[in-house]
Amino acid sequence: MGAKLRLQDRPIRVKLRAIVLLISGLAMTGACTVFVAYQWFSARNGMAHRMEVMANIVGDQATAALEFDQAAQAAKILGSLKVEQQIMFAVLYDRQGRIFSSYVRDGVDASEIRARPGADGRTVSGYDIQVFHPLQSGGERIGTIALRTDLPELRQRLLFSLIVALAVLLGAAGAVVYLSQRLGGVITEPVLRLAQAVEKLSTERDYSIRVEESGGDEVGLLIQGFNDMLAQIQARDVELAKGRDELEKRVQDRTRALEVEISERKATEGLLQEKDARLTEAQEIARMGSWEWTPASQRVAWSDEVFRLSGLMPGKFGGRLDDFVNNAHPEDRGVLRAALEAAPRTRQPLSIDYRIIRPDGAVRSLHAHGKAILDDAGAVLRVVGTLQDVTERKEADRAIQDLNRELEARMKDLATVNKELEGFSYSVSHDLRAPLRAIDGFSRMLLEDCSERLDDEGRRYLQIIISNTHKMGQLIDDLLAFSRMGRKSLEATSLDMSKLARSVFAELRDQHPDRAIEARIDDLPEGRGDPAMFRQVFVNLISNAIKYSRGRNPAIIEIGGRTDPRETVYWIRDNGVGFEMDYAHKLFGVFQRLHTSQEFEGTGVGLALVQRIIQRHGGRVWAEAKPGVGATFYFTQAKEAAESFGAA
Amino acid sequence: MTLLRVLSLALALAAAASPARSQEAQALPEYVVKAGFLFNFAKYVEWPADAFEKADSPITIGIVGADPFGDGLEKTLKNKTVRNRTFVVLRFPERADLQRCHILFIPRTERENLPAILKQIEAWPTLTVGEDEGFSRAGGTTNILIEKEKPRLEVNPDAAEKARLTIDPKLLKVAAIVRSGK
Repeated sequence: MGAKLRLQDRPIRVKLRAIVLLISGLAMTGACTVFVAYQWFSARNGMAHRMEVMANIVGDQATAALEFDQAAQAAKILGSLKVEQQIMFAVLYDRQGRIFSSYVRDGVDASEIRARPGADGRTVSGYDIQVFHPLQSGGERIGTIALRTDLPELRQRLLFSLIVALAVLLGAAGAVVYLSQRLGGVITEPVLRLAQAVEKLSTERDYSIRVEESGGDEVGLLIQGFNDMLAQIQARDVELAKGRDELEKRVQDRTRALEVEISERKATEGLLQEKDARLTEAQEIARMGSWEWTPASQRVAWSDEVFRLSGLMPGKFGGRLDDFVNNAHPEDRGVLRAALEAAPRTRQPLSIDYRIIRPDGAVRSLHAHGKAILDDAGAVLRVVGTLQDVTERKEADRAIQDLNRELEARMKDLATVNKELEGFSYSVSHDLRAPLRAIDGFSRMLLEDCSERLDDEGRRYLQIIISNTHKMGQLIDDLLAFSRMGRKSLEATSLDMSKLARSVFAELRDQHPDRAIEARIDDLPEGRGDPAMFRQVFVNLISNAIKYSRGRNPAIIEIGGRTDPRETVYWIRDNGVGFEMDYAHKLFGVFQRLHTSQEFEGTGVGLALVQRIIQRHGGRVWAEAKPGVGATFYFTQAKEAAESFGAA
Repeated sequence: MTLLRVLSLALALAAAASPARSQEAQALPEYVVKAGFLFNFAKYVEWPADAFEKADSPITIGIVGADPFGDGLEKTLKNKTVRNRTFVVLRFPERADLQRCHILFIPRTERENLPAILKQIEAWPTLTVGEDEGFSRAGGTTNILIEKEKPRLEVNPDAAEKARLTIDPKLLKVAAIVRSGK
């Protein structure tokens, strides 16, 4: 079997011939079988019919012999059947069914003759035909004639039919082979050409060959397609060659580029290693470790510093998220796990403090910070973060908080004390007024009503008493104003500083009609605050300037302002006595005076009040001076403060 | 061997005039056979149309002289028809009694009178049946002879023609043809 070629592997021509042969062979065999069978049956039927006719004729001939008991004649008549070779025997039965006469062909066994006739009619089986035919005479039955044949003719005809069929079959097969060879060429020739071309193509790789086209049938289309394909391959080869050259060039270029890149990368790698080392070092110095969690694999990687922070040997860490979480203080594990697991989900930075218990039993606070790293598609690759020991900071924080709490408590105490003090000073000032008024009143009455009883010395003393009560009254008023300042709520409106300054100056100028005072008031930047309070500031500072420039002729008072990025600065300058800058820090204290009240009257409250007002508006106040030249007082308003202090 | 025995048996059956040969032969005496033959002749002979009055007129069979059949002939012909014709048997003990009939059996006892009888019926369309050697040559139409216990037929076509009878060739075939002797 193995050596024998299967039909599949045979050439198409052979296949075609086999198929045509098979089909036509089947058809012819079928037709021949039908033909032979038809021949056979019709011949046998014809033969049977002929036997009957013969029996009829011979029987008719034999009736007289039978009727007149002429056995010899009957034998003669039956003997005439000898010419019919296929008849084995003929028997004449008389009226009673007895054998009257018979004819038996030479060599036939007479024992097959039936002693009595069978039913009328013919019996056909195989090559055997037996006929029983009734003999009639004068309208009555006088006997039966029997004929039996073994049909050698039929055999011959069958044989002849078979030979004819075989001849037709062979002839047809020959014709089929011949025709299929001649006509099959129409199909196989182009296929063979195609096959040869394909073989040549596969052995020589010559894509320039073409197969001769043949017709427009499927094979023709195949050849056309094949030729087209070859043409395309050729075209593609050319392009491929072109592309290859280009590719080669590009590969060379790329190789060069890669070489450069590789050398760069090596350098980078070196840098990276260096940086890694530095990072480890930095982590060690900063006592900050780093970690990395890959949610897909549930693996957690710790840097060396994390192990140091945890007091764990690197081998003691399982490297799973659970190990990370279980390293925490049992009370903190829940929040740590929640925070870690939320990071890849929410993609929000993770920041959490938690505690660990080191193997030596020390409880340390750690701060974990981290964030999810996403790939280009936005999927979470891993979560990376830092871990820092914040135990000391936590403790410091706690200390600061304790301090703050203490401070707050003290502030509260202080505020209470302050309030009490303010209340006290107010009531003292207020209560002091009454005796003062009494002293003043009775001193005046003494001076007016008992003037003649006093000498000049006495009257001068009384004047001094009255003058001092006035001073004391002024002092009490100032103290009341100052203490009020602590309680009073601020009113915030925009202020036209120029207008305010001018009106205050004009008011104060009128109190000194005998003096030559020159005022230079610029256009001041707009301010914001309580109008009454800022009027008080200008009153105090301008009156100071007028006061300390007494003796100058003329006294020059400049009022100016400028806007800085952060604050607005206003100033009031005089050409008065000035002061030593060494004492500048004492200027704004209550009851602090650089001059005696003999030199310049005053209570020592004015500048303290100014400072208090400016500070409440979020500003600063200071002074610059030179003895004998003059002094400049500055105050500012912070921009943010100017906008927002009203809410304070 | 079987064939021979069967054949000899058949022959024995046919040989009616051989009572000594078998039981069946005794059952078929000579005149039974001859009565049958008379009937059979009616089948193989055609009479001229004027021989019958009507289409179904009976066929008349006459016996001249002494009747050798007894009632055998009537028995044989009872309920028999040929071409729708029944049979009638007429007996003419004396030659002078002869009447026209279709078949006339002339026994051998009338050997002396034969020429006269034949002469007498010359013009009739009558089939004459004899049983004597030389009957046909003498002018009888058909003659039934028993030779070696087997019946043998003789036919004289000239006599038949003379009597305007048409004899079936099948009958001629089984019979010996005898011409009238001069």
